[in-house]
Amino acid sequence: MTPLLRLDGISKGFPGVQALQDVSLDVHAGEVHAVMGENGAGKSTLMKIAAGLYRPDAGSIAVDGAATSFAGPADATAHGIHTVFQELTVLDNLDVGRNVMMGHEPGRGPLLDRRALRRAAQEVLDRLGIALDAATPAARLSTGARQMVEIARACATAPRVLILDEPTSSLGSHEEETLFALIDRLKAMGVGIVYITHRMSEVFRLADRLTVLRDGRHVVTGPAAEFDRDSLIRAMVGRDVEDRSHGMVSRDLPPALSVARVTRGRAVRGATLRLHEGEVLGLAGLMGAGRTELARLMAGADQPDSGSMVLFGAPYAPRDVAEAIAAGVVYVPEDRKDLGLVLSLSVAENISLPAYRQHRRAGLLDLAALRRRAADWAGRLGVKAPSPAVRVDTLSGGNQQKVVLAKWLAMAPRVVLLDEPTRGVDVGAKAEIHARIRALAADGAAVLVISSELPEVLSVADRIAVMAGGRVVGTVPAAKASEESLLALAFAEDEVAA
Amino acid sequence: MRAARLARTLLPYAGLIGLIVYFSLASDFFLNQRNFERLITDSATLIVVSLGMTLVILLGEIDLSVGAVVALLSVLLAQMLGLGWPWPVAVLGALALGLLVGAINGALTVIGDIPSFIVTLGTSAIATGLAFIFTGAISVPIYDVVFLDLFYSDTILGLTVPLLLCIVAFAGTLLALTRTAWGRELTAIGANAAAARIAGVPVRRDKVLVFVAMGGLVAVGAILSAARLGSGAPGAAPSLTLDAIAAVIIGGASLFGGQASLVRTLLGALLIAVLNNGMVLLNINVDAQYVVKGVIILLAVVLERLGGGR
Amino acid sequence: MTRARLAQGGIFAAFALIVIALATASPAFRDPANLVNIGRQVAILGIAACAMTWVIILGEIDLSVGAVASAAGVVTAMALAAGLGPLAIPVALATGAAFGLMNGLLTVHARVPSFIATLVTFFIAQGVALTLTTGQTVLFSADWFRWTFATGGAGGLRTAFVWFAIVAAVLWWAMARTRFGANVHAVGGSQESARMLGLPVDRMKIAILTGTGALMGLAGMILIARIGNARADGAIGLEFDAIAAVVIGGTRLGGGYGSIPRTLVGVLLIGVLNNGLAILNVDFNTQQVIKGALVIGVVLIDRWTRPKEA
Repeated sequence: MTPLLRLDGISKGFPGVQALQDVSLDVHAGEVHAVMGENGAGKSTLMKIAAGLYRPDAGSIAVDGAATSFAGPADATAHGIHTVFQELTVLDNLDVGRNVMMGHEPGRGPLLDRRALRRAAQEVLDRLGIALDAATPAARLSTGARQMVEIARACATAPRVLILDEPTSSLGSHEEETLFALIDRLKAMGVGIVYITHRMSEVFRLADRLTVLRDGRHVVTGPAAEFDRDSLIRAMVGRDVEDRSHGMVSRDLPPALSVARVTRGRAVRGATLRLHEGEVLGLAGLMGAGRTELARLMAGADQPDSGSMVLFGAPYAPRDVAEAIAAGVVYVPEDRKDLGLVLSLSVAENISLPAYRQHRRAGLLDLAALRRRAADWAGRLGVKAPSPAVRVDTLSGGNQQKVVLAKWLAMAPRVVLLDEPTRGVDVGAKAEIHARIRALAADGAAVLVISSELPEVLSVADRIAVMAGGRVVGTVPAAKASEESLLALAFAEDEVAA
Repeated sequence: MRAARLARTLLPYAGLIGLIVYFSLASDFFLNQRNFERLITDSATLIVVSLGMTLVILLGEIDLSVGAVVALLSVLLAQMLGLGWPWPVAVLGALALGLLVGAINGALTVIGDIPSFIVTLGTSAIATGLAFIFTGAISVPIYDVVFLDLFYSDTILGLTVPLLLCIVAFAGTLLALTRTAWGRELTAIGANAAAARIAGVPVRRDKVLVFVAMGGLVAVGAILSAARLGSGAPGAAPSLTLDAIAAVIIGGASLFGGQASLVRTLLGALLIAVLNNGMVLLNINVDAQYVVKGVIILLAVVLERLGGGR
Repeated sequence: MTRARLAQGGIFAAFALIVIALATASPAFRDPANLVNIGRQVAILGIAACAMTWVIILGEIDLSVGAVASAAGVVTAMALAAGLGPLAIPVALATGAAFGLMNGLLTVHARVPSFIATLVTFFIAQGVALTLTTGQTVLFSADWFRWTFATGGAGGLRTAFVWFAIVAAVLWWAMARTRFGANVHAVGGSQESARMLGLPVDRMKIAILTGTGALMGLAGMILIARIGNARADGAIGLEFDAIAAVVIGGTRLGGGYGSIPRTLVGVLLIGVLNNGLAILNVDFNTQQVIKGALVIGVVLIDRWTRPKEA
C-alpha cells in the first residue's frame, strides 16, 4: 500500500546544529503513527518540514507516492497535509467560525459570504462531534476548546494527513479523552495521523506504529504493540533510566507556609493548603483547576481577593515577587522560554537577575561577587555550558531548566514553588531534577511541585494535594495514592463544580 | 553575510572617521581645535539626549517628545530668567520640570499601559502647543550673562562646560547601566519584561525611572540649548528627535529592546554632530540634511538586517 | 464588554455635548453653510484616517502620512507647473506609493518596527520636499486640476469630499466584505499565528503600507488643489490628527479590532472640534494641546475599560 505521506532520508542543519540526519517517516491512511524522542531529538524540525515551514537540505517528500516539495505552509495544506502545532494559532479577535474556516472562506472571487462561512464552520464542528458554536468569540475559549478549533480547522478541507505536535501538553485529563475520541473518529475516516508526544501512556493508548528519534537520527520504527515502557525509554535515551520511587512516609513536620481560604477571581475559590518544612508536596489537578494561579498568589506574583496566608508563624501577604523572595519564598514558573528565562541574556545574567538588589556596595553592584555566585550555582546544578557568559538560548532544554533552578536555589529559599519543573525536559535531565527536588526537601526546604504528569507527582512527592474548581479537594500521602485515586478526586469535584 | 555583520559593527567607527577625513579634505575650516570645540558645543544637547534615548530604546520604547520638550523647557527657563530669578534657581526649575515631564511620559506609558509612541506623540503636541502659547511664537531672549557664559563658553580645567556636561552625563549613564541593579535589570526588562517581573524585578518602577531619567537629560539639553541660542525658542530643536533616534540606531541598538550600547550611541551622536557641522561648513542646503541622515539610518538598518541581526 | 461599550457611548455623548456647546456658543457654527465647510475641511484628514485604520488594524502604524502627502503635493505642483498636465496625477500617486513602499520594505525586510520605519520615511519625505522647494511656495495654475480634486461640485458638495467618500466606501468594503479585509484582521490578531496559517503576512504589510502611500498621493493632490499652491510643510501634523481620529473612533491600537465606520465618527469629531475651535478663535496651538490631551485620554479610557486578558 502506498503511504499517504512519505519523508525519505531527510537532513536539515541550522547554524551550529545538525537537527536531522537521514531521517525517514511515513504514514498510511487510517493509522496513528507516533513519533517520540527526547528534546532536541529532531521531532519538531521534522514536523516543520512536513508542514512546509522548513525546506530539507537533503531527502525527498512524497505524497501518495508522487515526489513533491512544499513551497510553504499553504502548499503543504494544498496537498492535504495539515499540522496542529504546540503553539496554538487560534486568533482571539475572531469568532470560532472564522478560525475554523481560515484560508478557505466561502464566497465569490474576493468577496466573503459571512453567513455561508458560519454555516460551513458549524457543519465541520458538528461532523467532528465538537460541541462548540461557530459564533462564539475565540477569546472566550479554554485551551482545550482551542485545540478542538485547531483540529476542526485542519479538517475543514478533507485532510489526508493530520500532524499533531504534543497536543495534550496543555490539556487536562478529561479534555484529553475528548481529543482521543476525536482522533479515533478521524482515524475511522481514513485520515493518516502523525502524533508527536513525550507521554508514554498516550502512545500505547493511540499509536498503531511508532518511530523513535534520537539526536536528529532515526532509531527505530515498528508496530506499537512490539514496544513496552522500558524498551521505549531505552530507545529514546540509549541507556537504562531508573524510575525511582522513594515511597517516603508522611511525617509530622513543622508547617512552613499555610494558605487559608484564599480566593482570586474565578480561578482560585477558597483554597486551603499546608506546606511543611522538609517535605515535597505534589499539587495535582486538571487543566484550569487553579494550581498555577494558587502558586502565583503564594509567590506574590498576584494578590488574593480574600483569605490569608501564614509563613513560619507570621502573617504573609506579599505585594510583589520581590517581597516574597525577601521572605524566602520563590516560584519557578512553568513556561521556561517566556517566563523562566531571558533568552538573550547569558547564563550568569539569568542566575543573577533576582539577586542584583542584594549585591550592592554603596549603591553599586559587586560584579565580581555576582559572577562567582553564578558560576558556583551553575556548577552545583550541573549546567552543561562552555562558560557562564554564554547566552542561555544556546543551551538545550534540560540545561535551560537547570539554569532556571540555579537562579532560584541561589536565593537560598525556605519555600520553593515549582510549576511543571520537568515539562519539555528529556528523560535524563528529568531524573536529575527530581533528585535535586528530593535533596532540597532533605535539606529542610518546603517544596511544592505542580505537575500534570501524575506519575511524576506520585514518584517525587511525599504528600499530594488535588485541586479542582479553584479549591483543594483532598490531600493524600503519596504512598497511598494511585493515578486512579487522584484522577477520581480531581474529576469528582469537577463535576460538582460544573 | 559575515561581511555585512562586520560592516554593521564598523559603521559607527568607519562612518565617523570617514566623515572626519572627508570634511577635513573638503573644507579648510573643519580640522582645527576651535571648530571641534564648536562642534561639541553645538551638539551637546543631542549627545545628552541621545544617552537618554538609548535607555528608552533599550526598554523597547521610544520618546518622540524630546524635541518639543527641549523647546518648551528652554522657553520656560528663559521666562524664569526673565522674571529676574537667579540663574541657579531657574536651572533647578528647568530640571524639576524636565523630571516631571519624564514622569508623566513614564506614568502614562507604564501605568496607563499606552504605547510610548502614542504617549510621546501626544505630549509632543502638547509641549509644542504650550511653547508657542507661552511665547506668542516669539523667542524669549535671555539677558543673564553669567548663565549664558557658564553653559556656553566657560571652561573648567580647560574643558568647556557643555563638553564637561556631556562627559558627566555619559559617565553617569554608563555607570548606572552597568554597575547598578536598576541598569542591569533594564536589559532584562527590554528583552523579556514578563520574565523580569516574575524574577522579582520591580519592572514598572524601573521603567518609569527610565523616562524620568530621560526627562532629566532632556532638561540638561534644554539648558545647553537656551545658553547656546541665547534665548528660549519654541522652535528650538526641530530635528533633535530624529537625530537622537538616529544616533541610537547607528549605534546598533535593537529596536525591539533588550540590546543597546551607550558607547556606540555616543559614536552615533558624534557622527550626526560631525555631519551637521561639516554640511554647514560646506554650505550644503540645510534641508538636504534630512535626506542625508535618513539615508544613513537606512544604511544602518539594512546592514543590521543583512548582518543577521534581529 | 459592557464597560467598553459604556466608554464607547461616552465618546458619542462627549461628541454630542461638544456639538451642543459649540452650537450654543457660536451662531457661526450652527450656520448650515458651516456644515458644508466641515465636510470640505475633513476630506484630507478623512482619507488619511481611513488609510491609518487599515494600517492600525493590521497591527502597524504609519507616522509618515503627513510628510508623504506634503511631498507628493510638492512633486505634483512642480509637475503641473512644468506643464505635465494630466500626467501629474500618476506622478502624485507614484510618489506617494514609492514612500509607502519604502515603509513596507523597511518594516518587512529590514524588520524595523513600523513606528521607526515610518519615522525615517517621514524625515526623508520632508527632506525631499524641503530640498525641492528650497522652502519656497510652489505655484501652479491648472483650474481643471483644482476642480477635479477640491473645488468642483454643486451645492454643498465639493469634489474633495467626494474623493473622501469614495476612499471611505472602498476601504470599508474591502475591510468588511472581502477575504483581504478578513485576512488583515487575522494578521492584526496575531502575526505569528497568521504566518503559521499560511497567510502572506509580509506581502499584506507591503501592500497596505504602499496603498497608504498612494492614498497619501491622493491626499497631497487634494491639499494643493484646495489652496492652489504647494508647500513643503503643507500636511505636517496630519499623522497625529489621523491617529487621533482612528483612536477616538474606538479602533484599538495593537491591531485586530476596529472598523472604518468607527473611524468616520472619529474624523467627524476631530473635524467638528477643529472647526468649532477655529470659529471660537481658539488658536492652532491651543487646538494641538487639546488634541494631544484628547488622544492620550481616549487611549487611557480604552485601556481601563478593556477586559483584562487572562
